[in-house]
Formats: sequence, structure tokens, C-alpha cells
Amino acid sequence: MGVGLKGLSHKEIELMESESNIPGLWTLEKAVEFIFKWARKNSLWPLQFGTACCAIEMMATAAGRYDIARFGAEVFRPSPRQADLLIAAGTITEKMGYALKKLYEQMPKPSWVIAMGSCTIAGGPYYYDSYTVVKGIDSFVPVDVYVPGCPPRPESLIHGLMAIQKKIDDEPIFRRRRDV
Amino acid sequence: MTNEELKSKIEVDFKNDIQTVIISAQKEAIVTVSPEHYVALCQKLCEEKEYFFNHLSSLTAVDFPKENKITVVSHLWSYKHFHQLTIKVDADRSNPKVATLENIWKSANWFEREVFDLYGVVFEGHSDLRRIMMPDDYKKFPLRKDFADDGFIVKPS
Amino acid sequence: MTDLLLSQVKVGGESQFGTDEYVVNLGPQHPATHGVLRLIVKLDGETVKETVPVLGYLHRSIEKICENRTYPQCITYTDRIDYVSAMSVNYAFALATEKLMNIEAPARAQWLRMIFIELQRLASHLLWMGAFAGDIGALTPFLYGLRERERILDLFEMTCGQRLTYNYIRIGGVMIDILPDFVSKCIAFLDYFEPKIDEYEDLLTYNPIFLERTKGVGVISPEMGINAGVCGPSLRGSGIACDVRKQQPYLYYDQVKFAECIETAGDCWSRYKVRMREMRESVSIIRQSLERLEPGPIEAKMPPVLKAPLNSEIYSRIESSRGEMGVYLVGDGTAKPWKAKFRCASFSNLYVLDQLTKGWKVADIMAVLGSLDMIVPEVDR
Repeated sequence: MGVGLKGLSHKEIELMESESNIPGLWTLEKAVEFIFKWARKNSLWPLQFGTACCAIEMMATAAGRYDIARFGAEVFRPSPRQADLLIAAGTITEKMGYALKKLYEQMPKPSWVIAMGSCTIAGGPYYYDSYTVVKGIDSFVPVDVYVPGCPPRPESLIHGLMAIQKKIDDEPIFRRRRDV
Repeated sequence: MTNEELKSKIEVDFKNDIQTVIISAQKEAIVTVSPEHYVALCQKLCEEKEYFFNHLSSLTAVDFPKENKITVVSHLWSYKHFHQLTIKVDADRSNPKVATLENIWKSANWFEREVFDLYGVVFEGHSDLRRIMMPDDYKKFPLRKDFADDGFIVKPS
Repeated sequence: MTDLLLSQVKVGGESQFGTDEYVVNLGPQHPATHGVLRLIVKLDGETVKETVPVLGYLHRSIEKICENRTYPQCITYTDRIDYVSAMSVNYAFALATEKLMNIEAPARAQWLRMIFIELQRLASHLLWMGAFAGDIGALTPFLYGLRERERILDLFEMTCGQRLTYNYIRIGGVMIDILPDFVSKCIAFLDYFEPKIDEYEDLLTYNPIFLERTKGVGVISPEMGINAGVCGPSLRGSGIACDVRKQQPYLYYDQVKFAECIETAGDCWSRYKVRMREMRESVSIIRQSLERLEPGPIEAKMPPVLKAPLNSEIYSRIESSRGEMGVYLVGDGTAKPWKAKFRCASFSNLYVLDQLTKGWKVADIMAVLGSLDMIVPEVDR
């Protein structure tokens, strides 16, 4: 009990020790949570957003060999209103950053963000000597999973998607809306 | 025509218009012209049968802060005779102004807009001179050698 | 820019439907603009009056970066300029640097470079075919194209470890020699691939819907094309012979037999046919190169730090998958270039979009944009 309690608030400790966390006991709350989480993590629809090289690897992930459709991400929607996973693939410049922020705000909540590729994580190879590249999109968009690589292999992106699925499992279903 | 033949022919035909014509160490023919004769020379090079440089391959600028000049460099290619030529014209760095080549080759339109955006060279006679890469309200000229800005981190060597 | 167009909008358009003129924004987030390209389109009903591209959404200042990197370090950035056809851009920069410093790559390296550049041309055209057909509405060729492309990327990965940004063609040669079974795997792939081109042509070329959408659309006349700087397969679709491999041969293109693919109609369909024929020619070039591959060194003898001579400059062009790619380098006696300029085909090709779509419908913008084979990082660098 010692190590696992670090960083938890009182409310979270209460929740852990409450009746709903007795293993094997299915309450209504637990069942509803289970259904919501199962539905959400197996039907993540990515937004078709790719700027640069990582977009080609995202397309390869969606194609025949590294089929991302078997993880539920069947439909790549170009409109942000119909998507709930933003895979930010490619270098984001300042001009594009405004558009990306608007896209993120238009996506219905709950939504998740994968920062794919080193350009979105920290500016990538354009960290030095570039006057337009934003050095990491987490300065204006809340990122859930970082997938490193330049470009990351399709298997890495699928690993990132599975990390989001695990994150959905671990979070409560009514997540507080985050402001950056 | 080979580069040597091109050089000798240009020396004879355009004696009064050009400043120098050389064959560089990398075996290219390079013509330096003064700003007054720039457009007339390019017009003749495009239209005359022996030259027929109908393709403007690239138009760019090079910044030389020590010599206080920005050189506008254009590369021409002929789809008929298969020869290449480089034309250079200098502009004063504090107030760079060069005539436009848009009326000869339409492809110069966007090349010159890019040079204006990144170096600040004003092309006189251009139909639509505004920024092309940077946002319209950007104030500086990024590719100049003395560029500095917030968020612009230079790689330590 | 939108204010400028809005102020010129007329109330009461010209068609008999009682339409008004209005300004519509296409992108930068759009499924069919091949990246982050923004188009401001002035429409009268459904008819396009004017198209203004807004660039700069992917301007990553690669030219400024190259001024602060040594010549070998610049090659990693050239991959990112045209990531679908990275080997060609790698080679464009390596060729320019070799001409600048008077280095000559050995024969085996030149043949290997040729094989990889032509394989890269195949991969690029396959992705183009998928994207073009996808814009028009045919979603299957995209998956077919990517399936073959995966096999080519397997060959690349076997050699240099990367699928997209290779950094393989270096100054003076190539990075590493090919594995012993590369030649047999490559020939097996070519034997598998050649009938596939027939399959794709069966699916698309005389398909009535495809013909309706591409025949007669976006006609580039030869004079307009040359004057506006159009290059590559887009200009060859209008009947002009403009292949740099034939006019200014580099590598061993003057020693292998291949035909320059030219069509005369100048519309989207001709450009499509040019690229399909180019795929066949690439297969033939690769076969000839594989036969002539001999053992030998793969890198030239060079000083450990590459320095350009003082006051030197070079402009060299190659034929990348999209058209003419030129690299202009100015050397100043140090190990870093004073100026590096990349002249990219997509930048020049995009300029004619406005003239090609005047008077056509909104859906034709996508057909024309797809047929020009434009990729945004080449436009913005």
C-alpha cells in the first residue's frame, strides 16, 4: 500500500478503499464504467490530420499491412466534429498552430491527442535555426501520448494507440475538461 | 552551345550591357549585369534564336553583409539548345531594389515573391508583391545573415 | 487576402440560377489538398472564378538551417524536403556538393544510386496514384498502391534501415553496401510488380468515371507551361520533352536505354498516362542497372572535413519524381554552405493552378491538384 499511495488525493484514496473497488464485486457503477470504456477505447476515430513525413507513416498504418482498423480506428474523418482522436503527425509551424488549436477545440469531448514524431514532441530536427517551427505542441494542446521517432514506424504508432486505450481504461469516465 | 562558346558569344553580342562574363571554376557560365540593363538583357536572351532561354529554372538571392550587397541570381535553361546560364545582379543592402522579370517569364512571379519575403528585395513592376511564406504582418526578413528573433535558437557549434 | 477578394465580390452572379459570388476557404485541414495547403477560392455558384493558394503552413526554414550545418549534415534535411521521394533529393544535394568540391563517386556507388533513385520513383508514383485516385473518389487504388509501396520500402529497409527518411545517398557515394540477397529480392519484386501496373491501368485508365473527371480537364498548353515554369511529368503531358535525365545526363542515364514518356493532350488524363508509363520505364532501368552492377568501392576518397573552395557556386539539376529539382550552393571556404537553395518542382507547378481552374467546377480543383503531383513541403521548404 505504501508506494502506490504517493501522489493520490484524499478523494482518490477514499475511492480506492470504497466498496466499489472490492475485486470481483460488480456494482452498477462499475458495469456502466466498463461499458463506456469498452466502447470508447475500441472505436477511437482519428482525425485525418497530417502535415509532413509522419503523415505518410500514418497513412501506411491505415493501409493493408499495419491495419489500424482492427483496433477500431476504422474511419479517418477529415472533419474534427466527427473524430475523437487527434494524431498530430508532422511538423507544426506557428501559422499551422493556430489551425491546430482550433481543430482541437472543435473536437467533441472526450478527445485524446497523440503527438506523433519528434517534431510535435519537441521541435525535432528543426529545434535549432528555425524561425517558424513550434518546439512541441504540448505548449498549446494537451497531449496524452508521445510517440517518438523520425518518423516512428507504424508499429510504434499502433503501440501509441494501445497506450491511449490503456489510458482510457485507467481514467474515470467523466474526466474534468482540461484547460491548457 | 558549350559554356565556352556561350561565353564568347555573349562577350561579343552584349558587350555594352554586361559587366563581366566568366567561366567559373565549376565550369558554369556566369554573367554579371548592372541593374539598368538587367531586363533588356534577359529579354534578348529569352527571345533570340541562338540563345532561346525559354525556361527560368530558379531565381534567388544571396546576402553578403560584408560587401553590403544582396545579389539576385537567376538560372536560365534552354529547352531547344540545352545550355544553361547564370545571371547575377547586385542590389544595395540597405534599400534593395531590382527590376522584375515577370513580364518575360511568368514563373518569376512566385520566385520574386519568395525573395521579397525572405530577403526584403523589392521588385519594381511586380504585379503582386506580398509575402508568400511568412504571415502577412511579419516584419522581419528571415534569410538575411543578421536575422534574430524570439524563439530563434542558433545551433551552438 | 480574404478581404481583398471579398471587396471584389459582385452581388448577382452571371449564371441563370441567380447565384452570387462568394469566397470559400479550402484547407489547410482538408482531405484532398495533399498536405497543409490553403486555397482561397472565389466561386460563382459552383463555378470557380479565382483560386489563390496561401502557402507557408509548412515553412520549416530548411534553407536557413542548411546555412548552419556542415555539408554532410545537410543531407538529413534534404530527406524531409520531399519525403515521398527522399532518395532523389538526397542525390540532388550530393551531386551539387560533389560538383562544387570536385569529388567523383566510384562506379558501383553510381549504379547503386541509380537503382535506388528509380525504385524511389516507383514508390513515389504509386503513392501519387493512390492519392490522385482517392481525390477523384476511387478509394481502392490507394490501398493497392500502398501495398506495392510496402514491398519497395522493405527493400530500402533491408539496405539502410529506414522506411521514409533514408539519408542513404551521401556525398561521394552511398552509406553502406547492399546485402548479398538484395539483387535477387529486387528482381523478384520487379517480376511481381510489372503485371500489377497492367492491373492498375485496367482499373483506372479507361474507366468511364475516371475519364469523365480527367479527360479535357486542366489543359496546360505548351507555351503557357514552359513560361510558367511547369516541369516534369506535368509538362511532358503537354508534349514538351523536358526530362533532365536526357538533356543533362547524370549518373549513367546515358548508358541505359529508356524512353521519355510524352503525351500531347495536356489534360489530367495525359499526365496520369505519362506517370504510368514512367513506372514501366523505371522498371526497365532498374533491371538494366542490376545487370551492370559490379563489385567495387562504394565511397570516394575524401578529406575528413569537406570544405568548399572560396567564392565557389554551383547550380545542378536532376529529375526527381515530381519534376526538375535544382540545388544552388554558394561556398565560402568553410565546411558550411553560405547559401543553399532548393528549386522544387511542386513550387513551380502549383503556380498554374489558378489558370487551369478558371471557369471549371469546384470538383475539378481536386482533379487538377492531384494530377500536378504536388507535395506541400516542396512548396514551402
